[in-house]
Amino acid sequence: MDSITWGVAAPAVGAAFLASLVEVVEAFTIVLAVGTLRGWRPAVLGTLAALGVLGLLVVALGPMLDRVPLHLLQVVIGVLLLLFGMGWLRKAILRSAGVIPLHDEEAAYAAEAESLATTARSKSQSLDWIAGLAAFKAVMLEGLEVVFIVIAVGAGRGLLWPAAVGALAACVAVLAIGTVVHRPLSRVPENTLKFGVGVMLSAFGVFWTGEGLGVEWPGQDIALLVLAGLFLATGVATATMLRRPSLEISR
Amino acid sequence: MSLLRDIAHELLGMFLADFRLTVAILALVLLVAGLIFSLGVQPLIGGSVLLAGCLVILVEAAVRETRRRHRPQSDG
Repeated sequence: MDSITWGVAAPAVGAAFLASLVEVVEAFTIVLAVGTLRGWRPAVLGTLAALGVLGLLVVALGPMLDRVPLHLLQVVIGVLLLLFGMGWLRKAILRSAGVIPLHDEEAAYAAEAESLATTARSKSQSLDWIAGLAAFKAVMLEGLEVVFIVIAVGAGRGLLWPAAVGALAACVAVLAIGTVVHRPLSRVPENTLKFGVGVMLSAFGVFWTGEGLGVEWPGQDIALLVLAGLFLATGVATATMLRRPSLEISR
Repeated sequence: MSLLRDIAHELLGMFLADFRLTVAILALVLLVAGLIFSLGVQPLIGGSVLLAGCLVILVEAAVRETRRRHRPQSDG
């Protein structure tokens, strides 16, 4: 079996950790709202059910990846990464420039609490059932993104396990901090994280798509850092340019 | 059903948040594939076109969205 060096695995572990951190913080906010308002039983049951479904998805779909030719897998995952990563980066640039508002975990928490209260008033279903379903949905939706990110940054080079370890570390970190502070993690620099993750996913996207099309990048994996640097520089420059009011005038 | 709809919406939203961005990326990848496999351009040049194209598409998408949001209502 080929041994995986830290230098090769580090970008995949880092990208999976940071991307998962953002998603897990968002899921944690909803689960915390459910647990605080309706008790921890439905919150934990909903979370475990969602993790179970996600686990089944990974177990069912994971072996299929081995049957896809490597170049085709790299192109498909590369293109998906470009769509996903550049979408994130575009939004992070717009948030950084003040064009669209920052994501607010306190507001998300309040919105979920209000939604639970409204649903409870309008439906005759068990409140625990509604609360458990809210936790299930939040973990399921954010978890799907985590699963995609782990597969996307890991599958092209046999780095699924290191990427999964990165994602798992993010879950443990958010749970540990969340258990201590016991409130929405609103002080996480979410847009900075999303900016960084958008940069890394876009760099992975260009790298995999290129490799799938037969490109041999100079320096091999080191090229990832160059690609990420170029996306970062372009993103920062664009956000700086969009902050200037003259853009409106020069339209 | 609402749950399945939300999951489908989330999955689509992951990749199709901005329709023009999506179309531009797909068109760029097709262009680069055409350059390499049909015109016999060196793969590394194709990779450079892919990288440069992605950076241009990213800047254009951010500038376009900024202008759209700053456009006065009476324009439309």
